[in-house]
Amino acid sequence: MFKLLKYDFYHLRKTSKFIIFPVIIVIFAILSPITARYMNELLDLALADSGINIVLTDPVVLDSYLQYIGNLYETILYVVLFVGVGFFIKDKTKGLLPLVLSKPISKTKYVLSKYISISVLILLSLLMGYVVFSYYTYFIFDEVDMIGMLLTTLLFFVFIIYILSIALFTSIYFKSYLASVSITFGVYIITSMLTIFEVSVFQYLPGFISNNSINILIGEEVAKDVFINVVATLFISIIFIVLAIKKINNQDV
Amino acid sequence: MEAIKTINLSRSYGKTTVLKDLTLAVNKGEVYGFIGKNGAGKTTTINLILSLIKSDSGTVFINEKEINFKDQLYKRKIGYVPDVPVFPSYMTSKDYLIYTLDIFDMKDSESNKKIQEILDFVDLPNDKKKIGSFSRGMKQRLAIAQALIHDPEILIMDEPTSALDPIGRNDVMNIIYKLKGSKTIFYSTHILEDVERVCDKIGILDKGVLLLEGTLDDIKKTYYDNKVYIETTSEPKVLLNIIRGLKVVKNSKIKKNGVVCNLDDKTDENTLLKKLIDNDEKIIEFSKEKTSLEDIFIRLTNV
Repeated sequence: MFKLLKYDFYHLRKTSKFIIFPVIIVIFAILSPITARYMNELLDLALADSGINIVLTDPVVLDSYLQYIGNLYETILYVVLFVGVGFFIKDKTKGLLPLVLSKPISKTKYVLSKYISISVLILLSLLMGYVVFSYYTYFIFDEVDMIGMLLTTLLFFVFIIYILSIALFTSIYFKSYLASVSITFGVYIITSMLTIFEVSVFQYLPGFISNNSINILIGEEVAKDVFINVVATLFISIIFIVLAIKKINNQDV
Repeated sequence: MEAIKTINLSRSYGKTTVLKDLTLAVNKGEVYGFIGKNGAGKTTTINLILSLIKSDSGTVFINEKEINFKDQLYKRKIGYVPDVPVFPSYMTSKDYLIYTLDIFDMKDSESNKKIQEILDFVDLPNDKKKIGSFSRGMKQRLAIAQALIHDPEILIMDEPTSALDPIGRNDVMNIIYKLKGSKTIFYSTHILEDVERVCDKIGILDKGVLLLEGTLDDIKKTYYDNKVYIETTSEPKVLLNIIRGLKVVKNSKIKKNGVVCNLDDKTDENTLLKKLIDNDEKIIEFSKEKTSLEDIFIRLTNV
């Protein structure tokens, strides 16, 4: 397993993914507090000649948090989804898999290594983003909720684990990148849509992680609910991973 | 000892049967030529032996041990050269060979020496050139190198020369020839000339069915068709008529400046030669034609 991880990290490094994830996340970590702080000024400038007068409240540190969370759950998540599927499926689509699996490599370890390597890379990138974001937010707003933002980062990582588990499953199940990415994206959309239904049990589904992140930052979270939400998300992720492993162990290369 | 054995191996894709009850055996140390037209089921057989695809029925044995589809450990004993080798484009040949050694738990202080030796063996330079910029021939050599680096007992090669130019093909055949005797080689191809050069035993596959299996000598004896080439001072057309008139041959046709014919079961070469001399024919050449594998292959697969 360690050897497979080593070569998956080697692949990530050689194909620039090692740079892409940290750079994108750090860029948003820097831009989020700046955008939150200067959005009012930018809008004033943009609307100066139009005669439209909008009264905006002074930006507060929560705006910076919300800006960053928004960027994480939209832009960063899409990058993870598209790159993740590509990373999982490339051995199959590029024809590398027969030669890989002609060697004494356990298919289970092969799948887990891919999943763990990209997850670790994203976790490290997110932690880097967390440090940079906290620094810039403190620099601009003179305050930052370090614990709250750390929990938010870790909750986002739990959601990433969930999305990656779906990406892993679809990339093993389907033969083309397009099919795999479309189904993963579809599941993500359904996951998000379930948050609009007011069904009590739905609050523990993966889609509610972002809501819980915001609740933590505004001090409204209920620890037990967050805990169940995380456990449920991890449980669903494990199911997808187990299904992916079962599938690859019984399918033609 | 049988290094590779399959019993009643079958595989279908939808309603199309690609392999039907394939039973074959490759003895340890043999070079086995697995011959068939494109689409005969050769790659499917190799994929089944390597557990890359699942069989519908039948069994595979490696070194007389039954293989389960989920087994991976038996692949320690096997080196595999695919028909179209694909490697990570960002690696160099040395990177890929280190990776292979590492996967086989064989990376040690001697690795660099081993890699240099194997690269010399397949005539590939040990430089910083990325595999992405390799020619087809270079990739094929690297495929052979990675299949040999862990010193496997069995080498499985899927049409290793099919897409190479004559020089590349000759080089690959020389590599196989050098390996002959030291490894069991299971080698699929549709280039019969190559098979005659290196193989001890052959199997002819057609439409998923093994039509024939045996040593080259035995097969040639079995399919020996008593063929002779005759050249006389007469014009080939005239000679052809004379030979046909003798009524001792089954088939006859003009070849080069003479006639080639198959003697019937009651006649031997001496009888025919005597009859021709009695007919005042002045013999320039009278020789036995060897039965080629190509003749046998065409006879078997064009039924």
